Amino acid sequence: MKNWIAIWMLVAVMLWNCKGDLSVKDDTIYSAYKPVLMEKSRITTDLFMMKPRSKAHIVKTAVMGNYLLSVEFGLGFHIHDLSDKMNPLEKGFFQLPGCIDLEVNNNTIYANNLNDLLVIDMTDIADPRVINRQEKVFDMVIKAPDGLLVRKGLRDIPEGTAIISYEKL
Amino acid sequence: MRPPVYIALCLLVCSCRKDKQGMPNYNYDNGTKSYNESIIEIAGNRVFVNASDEINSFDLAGNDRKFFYSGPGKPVHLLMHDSLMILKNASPGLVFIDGGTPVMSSFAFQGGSLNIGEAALHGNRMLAMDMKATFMDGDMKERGGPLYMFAHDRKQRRFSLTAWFTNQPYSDGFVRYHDSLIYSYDFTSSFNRILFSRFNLNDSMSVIEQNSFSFRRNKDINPSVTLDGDFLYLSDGLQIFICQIQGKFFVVKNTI
Repeated sequence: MKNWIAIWMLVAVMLWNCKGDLSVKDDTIYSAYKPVLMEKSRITTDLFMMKPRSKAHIVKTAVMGNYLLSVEFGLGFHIHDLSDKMNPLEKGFFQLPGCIDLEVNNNTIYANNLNDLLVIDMTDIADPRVINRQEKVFDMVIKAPDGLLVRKGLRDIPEGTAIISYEKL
Repeated sequence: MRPPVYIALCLLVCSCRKDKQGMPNYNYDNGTKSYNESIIEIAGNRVFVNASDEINSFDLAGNDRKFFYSGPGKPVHLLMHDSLMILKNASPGLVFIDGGTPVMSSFAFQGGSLNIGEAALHGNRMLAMDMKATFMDGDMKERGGPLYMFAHDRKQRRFSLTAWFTNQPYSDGFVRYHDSLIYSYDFTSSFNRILFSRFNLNDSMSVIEQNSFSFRRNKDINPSVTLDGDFLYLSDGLQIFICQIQGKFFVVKNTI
């Protein structure tokens, strides 16, 4: 009888110890970034010049005459006047949702506006003008910069929106 | 109770308490590290775009869409040097297109396909940096690959590998051609130093000189480099260094 009590006590202790340890731990390392979402209807319409803003994630730089254009990951591009390279001037930021790449030809820019290819006339640097749009040229899937899966709960993309960039959590 | 029963029970308890923590599980999106790829290039009077599964071209007004190239493999990076187009494919590797004709389908080295990051042309030589950025070591350092040199025979429409240079076990960077010399920018494992190298362009591919300067870098952000005459614009993501050739090397003149 004593043996049976001892056995049952041991089993109880064992089960108590096992509690929690048997559960599967989530060791997954998720992305340190979260998506920046934008309503699809605004992606192609909210294109405008803004005041200079801080740089967070420059993915591309290009020279256009005396100006340096630098693409802010998925958000648009900064414009710097480098006429005097010792005293560069920030001219502004052109919001261009989903932009990750641009090319320059004289005063014309070819850039992506998420999935569309835009031709932008930069003759007036303070007032860039979209002169042509080719829709659905690209099939853009913008991923987190660290390449990792975004945490659960941040992955859901509400209907009518799209990922245009990522920002640090 | 007999000793074997105690032993069995103890083993059972121990097995339950065994630490189940193993190696962290880095869950990559589609198994690859995300890099910001070049998707638009201009050559002559055409604009080339990487339109998902194929390369298309437009006239400079953005009209007259034409099919240019597709397959094998999905193009993920587009480089253009004069009339030479270099495509980095997700699989199987590199495609060179010289004057509209694909000249070689792919290169594969060291068990993996060449993951070209940057390339520079000099005469009949092309240098290509193998990023191999999809590899991460156990200590989460990115592992870069060597710098390859290809001989380009334009008449024969053929590329052949002539030499390669492995600098450090952990490196990635850029290759740019300037003033008859090839410079490579090698970001070291600490991500805070940029190493400039000038190479002999003979088949031995030896380093002539090297120097370096401090460079702050977030490993998630790909540095970008634009060369314009004597000036080089180098960004670590957060700031842009304005560098100028001075003597033999680029030196930082300003930061924006």
